[in-house]
Amino acid sequence: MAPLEPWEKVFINLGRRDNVGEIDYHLAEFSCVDCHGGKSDQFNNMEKAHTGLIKDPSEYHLLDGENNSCGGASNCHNAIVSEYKNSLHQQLWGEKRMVALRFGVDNFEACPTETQVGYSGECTSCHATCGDCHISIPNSAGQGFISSHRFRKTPDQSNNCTACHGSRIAHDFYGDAETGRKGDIHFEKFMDCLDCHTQAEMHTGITDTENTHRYNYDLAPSCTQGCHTDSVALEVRNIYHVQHFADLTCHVCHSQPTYNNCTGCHVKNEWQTDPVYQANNPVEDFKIGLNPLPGHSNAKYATLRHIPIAPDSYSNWGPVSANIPAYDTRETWKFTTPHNIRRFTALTDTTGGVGCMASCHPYQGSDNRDYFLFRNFIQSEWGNEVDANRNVVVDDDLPPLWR
Amino acid sequence: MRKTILLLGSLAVLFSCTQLIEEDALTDNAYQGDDGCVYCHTNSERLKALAKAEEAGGGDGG
Repeated sequence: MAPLEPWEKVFINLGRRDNVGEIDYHLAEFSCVDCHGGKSDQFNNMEKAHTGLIKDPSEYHLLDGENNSCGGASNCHNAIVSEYKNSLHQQLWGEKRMVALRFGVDNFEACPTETQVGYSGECTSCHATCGDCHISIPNSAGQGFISSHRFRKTPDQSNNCTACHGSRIAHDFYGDAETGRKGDIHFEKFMDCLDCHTQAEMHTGITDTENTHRYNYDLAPSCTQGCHTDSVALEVRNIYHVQHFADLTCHVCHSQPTYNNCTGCHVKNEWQTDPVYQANNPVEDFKIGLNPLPGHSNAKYATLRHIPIAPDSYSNWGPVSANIPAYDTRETWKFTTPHNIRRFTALTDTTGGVGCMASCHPYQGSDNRDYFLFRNFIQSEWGNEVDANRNVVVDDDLPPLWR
Repeated sequence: MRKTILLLGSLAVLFSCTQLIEEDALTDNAYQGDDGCVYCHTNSERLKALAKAEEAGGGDGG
């Protein structure tokens, strides 16, 4: 999304109101300095007025790490502040878990101190504070009031959710009229993020911090949770479901292959000066591979995305982090759930009366093999990632005639 | 028919006037209190003069 001008980010539009208290209850009950600090008696000196300013009072570490202004000092939202402190959006447990596993240890605290410091300095900027969802465009997405510092109980989809989740969610979910790319059918049916991703999923604190990530999480949404539970069971809705329901995740068939993967943005931005990276990384695709998350889904096959991590990705954190010690133990093609679902995709196309197997099954010599993750493909593009992905390539798990 | 046109026309004029008042109010500082924070942050012209360009994230993650 286009960033706001600096003045727009902090402008409170009174309109025809007489005071800020008419915008929102909180602004009537508290003064600015109650939450933000600073000096409210400095009318004509910006620097002095901003002495001791707390830009985002809902940031936990600015107080004592346990509370923020929404709960602690004002004693208003203590329960939710206490709960949210350990949530996925605040703590990024999944990221920490993967960093730990790639360093060959069980939890983030067991990683080398240098690695923890490096991670905290770079990766945690994406965590979401209360204000990131309920007041402003998130800190990591450029900042700025959405509606004059009004506290919004329900986050705004475009200014909050997809401001951060832009590359792999927004582009897929909304589609693109210019390129003819179709959006997700749920978006066309006027569903928004919060129809599937509940308040509880956003706020609930994690207790099993070593084993929880966004897919291995009992509050994560599922297709059959309240929807797609018609009288005819989904498993026997048609011959394709009868044949494949147990073995394939829904996304394998119903995600459009024009999926916007991580590379879609990284190649265009900070890595655009790396010709090798650019040449090797397609910007749009997923691959069908073996499901790396049996704890999340019982399906044998799942959609996978290529993540931008190399053995030396953390080298700027210092010599201890220069070569990720257990790089080969974790796949770089990860489980993904593209948000571009349609009933009919390139893989379920039955135009002309052909069965969709003609559009999907990876017969020898068929173009359909491009949809699947083969060892040779990884070897040809990223030779040092072959071992890391040995458990998700399909080479040894296809029917003998297709290998 | 004339009444309808007159009514719609009146509504259009009324709406235009409220928009003009809104736009006018954007640059006025209607705030009359003694809070310096509100004094500045409710005045777009004052903010334009004072707010510096800053380095902030660009979004598009995840």
